[in-house]
Amino acid sequence: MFYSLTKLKVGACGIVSHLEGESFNRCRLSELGFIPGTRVLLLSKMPFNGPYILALHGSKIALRYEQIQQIFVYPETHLRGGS
Amino acid sequence: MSIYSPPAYSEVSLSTRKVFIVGHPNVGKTSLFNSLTGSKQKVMNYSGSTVITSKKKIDICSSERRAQIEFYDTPGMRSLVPSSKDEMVTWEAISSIRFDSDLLLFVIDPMQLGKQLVLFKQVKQAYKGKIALVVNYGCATSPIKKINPKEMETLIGCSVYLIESSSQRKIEELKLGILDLLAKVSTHHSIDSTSAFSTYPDFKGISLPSEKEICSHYAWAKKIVYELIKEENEVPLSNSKLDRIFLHPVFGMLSFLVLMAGFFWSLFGLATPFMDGIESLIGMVQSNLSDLLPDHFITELVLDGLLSGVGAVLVFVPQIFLLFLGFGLLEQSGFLARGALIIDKPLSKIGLSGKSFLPLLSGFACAIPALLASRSIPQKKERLITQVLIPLMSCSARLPVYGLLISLLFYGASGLLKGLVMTAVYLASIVVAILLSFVLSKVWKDNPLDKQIFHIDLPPWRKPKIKEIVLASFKKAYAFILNAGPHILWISLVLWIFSSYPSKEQSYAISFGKWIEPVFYPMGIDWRVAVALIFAFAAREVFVPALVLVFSFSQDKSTWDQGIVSSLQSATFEGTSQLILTPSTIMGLIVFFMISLQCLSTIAVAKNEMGGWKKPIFMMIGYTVMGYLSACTLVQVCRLFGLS
Repeated sequence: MFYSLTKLKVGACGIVSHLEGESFNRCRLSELGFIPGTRVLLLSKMPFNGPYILALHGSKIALRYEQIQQIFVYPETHLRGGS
Repeated sequence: MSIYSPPAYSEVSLSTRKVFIVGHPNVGKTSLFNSLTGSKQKVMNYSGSTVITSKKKIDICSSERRAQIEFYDTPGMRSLVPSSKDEMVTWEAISSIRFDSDLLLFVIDPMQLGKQLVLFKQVKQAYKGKIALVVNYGCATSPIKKINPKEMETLIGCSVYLIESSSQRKIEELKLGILDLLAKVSTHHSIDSTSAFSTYPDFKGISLPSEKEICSHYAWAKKIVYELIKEENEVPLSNSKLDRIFLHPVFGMLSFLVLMAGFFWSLFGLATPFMDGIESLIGMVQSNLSDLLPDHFITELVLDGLLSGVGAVLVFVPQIFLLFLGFGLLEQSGFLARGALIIDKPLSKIGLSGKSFLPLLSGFACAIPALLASRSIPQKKERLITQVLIPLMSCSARLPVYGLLISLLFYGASGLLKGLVMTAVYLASIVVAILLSFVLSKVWKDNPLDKQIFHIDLPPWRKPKIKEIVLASFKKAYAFILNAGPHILWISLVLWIFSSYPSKEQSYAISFGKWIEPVFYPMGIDWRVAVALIFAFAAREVFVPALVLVFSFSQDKSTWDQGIVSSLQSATFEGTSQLILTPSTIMGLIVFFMISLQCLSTIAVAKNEMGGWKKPIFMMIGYTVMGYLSACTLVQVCRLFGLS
């Protein structure tokens, strides 16, 4: 079962399932590396719905809360057990 | 190398060939540009730091051919579709809008091979000319396995070169490779403009590549990476020790505030002994020269005018040097990128972006590079507000002015106290900026077409190259003197002429000053300070030497020997015993300089960045009027409460 990246706990990994929202934003996020199957690690969250710091594709990136809401992930353990 | 070509040589082309260095931010494009051309462009660790395309021509010779090549360094791009004004520069550079390029050097960071190959694929598809891949092992922060360039060439379908920061041999190999590639290129090429896209609001009618297309690029890149490295390139990055503090929800903000406060505090505190040293040196030179030189009007001009004036500005060079040094350390280490995302949320509440942080911070040194740095802000409204706020960030030219005014206000106080007051003045200007930003964000409407998303790439923490930064800071401080110097000299000369002709008692300066004096009565100053204020519109730092000159020419010489500060302190309105520079007046002047826009160079640069003269001129008039009204209000309110 997938859920919004906003619900991922700090230090946990998720696998990108899909993106929601406006097509322009979805394309931009895809270009940044958020494509289905990508492993994403949540490093930190800034307080008061500030930017989220994520690690993916070998680098660190920070995104605002509005964009994080558009990214949906599977928990990593789910995939390992499910297949 | 000989310029006479033996018959065996063949010219690659008679015209200069253009080679563009492109790639993601922070991959070492500027370093490569420097290595290839022998330039010394400053390399910064903050994405978006190359804001102007730099270019340089060099000659490359091999045993068979030679050519004159112009290399272009470009700002980093993350997508074929520009998302901010600086990415637009790169896009224009490789499409046929502004330049015709002969070859693209696509630089990649081997630690992010997969992700960066995606952009490479997109550029290769859209660009019809020759492209070469340059893998920069110099930017790898940990040892990684080197790929086989020949293997990669077969997989990708274009020339691949490996470079390292320490190997000059590899750079020479690359140069020869470029020569070979250019020999095969006969015509200029550019991006097919129907297949290149942009959603930058000023560039209408074009669309982004689809999600499907991007996914297929990623799949292609993943296959290539696996073939080359035979293992998962997806290194799960954990937080480095520094990031555990700086990116922590609570400690991050705390450490940021402490560091920034410490930065400004040390700026004013550390510099004090150097400033005192310079002041005494100037004084010594003055007294020695006055003993040696004959009594002549030239002597008067040189000693009282030029030397005092120049001295008053030179005193601030140590602080300016420390300012640039601090910036350099913060930039290169990677702190500034973290700072941007730590304060993104608070800044977005007042209509700004985390990316406004660097431009606004740079404004404390000088408004011009700050305005150029604002190009990296994707959202138009946030960028515009940032640009409008930059003049409020008290630039280094205001340091001499604040310094003198604070010395007058706290006459005889310790250097430490004056440093504290200086910090308070800077904080006050930040408060004014916050208020203005909040008002502007509510007044100016959001543009629904401006859909750029905010994201920051966090570069790894790097050890700053101290030697490089110290050298760069020296250069910048020297440039400050070189820029301010001529202004001070010619203005001192003009002022001296104005104050001496037709005669000292009835000079042009006196007539002009008395004519505008009524305007400045509410500010509590007399015509002499007013004249100095007007001259400060040429360059703010000129206020101090101008003030010194105007007073010295209209006052009894004996009082002048006590030193600038004490003489000004005891200056009175003509014909009365009422002091001019009283606490309320001085505070009024500080407020005036804090708010008013008195820099014509800023207006000139703002015209390019804001798109037209209307906004910058309106900004200048607006800020100056605001400064004048605030100063008058402050002085009158103080007087109402009994403060002199």
